[in-house]
Amino acid sequence: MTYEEVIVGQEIDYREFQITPEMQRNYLEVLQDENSLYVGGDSSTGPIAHPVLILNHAFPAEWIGSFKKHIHAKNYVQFLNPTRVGKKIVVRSKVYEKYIRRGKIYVTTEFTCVDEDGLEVAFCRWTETHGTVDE
Amino acid sequence: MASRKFEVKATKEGDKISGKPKKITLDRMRRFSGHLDGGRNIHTNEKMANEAGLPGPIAQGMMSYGYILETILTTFGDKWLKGGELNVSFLHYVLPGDTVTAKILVRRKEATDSASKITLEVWCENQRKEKIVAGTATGIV
Repeated sequence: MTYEEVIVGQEIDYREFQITPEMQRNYLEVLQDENSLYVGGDSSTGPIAHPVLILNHAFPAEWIGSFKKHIHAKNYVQFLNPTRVGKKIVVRSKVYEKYIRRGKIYVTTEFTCVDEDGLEVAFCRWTETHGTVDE
Repeated sequence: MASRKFEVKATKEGDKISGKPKKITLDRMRRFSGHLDGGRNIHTNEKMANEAGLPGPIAQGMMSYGYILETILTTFGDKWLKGGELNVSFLHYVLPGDTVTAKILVRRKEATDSASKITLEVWCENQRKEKIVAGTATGIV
């Protein structure tokens, strides 16, 4: 993928994944996050799914990876509703904007995460820098 | 891993809250980013990082994002997850061996009908006190 090939507004990714207890446990250990929010909950609802786990599985990684270089530059999230471990998440991504600033290429994708019950979980704008224009 | 119940803290404008220092290891980076690119990427693999012009694998920025979010939620509670916003720029690489600490500063606290609108300055520092991530957050709690 090159800067010229990026089309603003284009839908670039659709994915579904389930938040498993193993994924949650891994993120809690790696982030060393001890908040009981993520292990509590009653037996009918289960614990709240870690939002960073959701975002990190939701962004259009393969599309971003199709650029020669890619480094995460900025991240904006609006957290809309917590969802629970065990839920399936549906994500649709599109290109929000592209620009060149001080010779560096930036592309922002945006996506919304919705759980299997139709609950909107998070809206994210994820900006990567893809090297310089003369590379 | 042990879990802890955090009480929502009383805060006022000007309060600065520090998260727990987090030691970055290659193992943690690999477990955080191992689902990307078949497990071989600039966060997990020396060769891939070097080919991208990096000194070695760098931690994914979302790890620091998680440390900031943890500090917000342990301070203000899970109401933040209903409409709260977190907006950051990633400023410097984080490498294995670094220690990262999230910080939040209460910039503004405005009373609404039955809650408070909180505006925060947020950042993460490494062990050299360099800001590696910086931005803002807002939420109703």
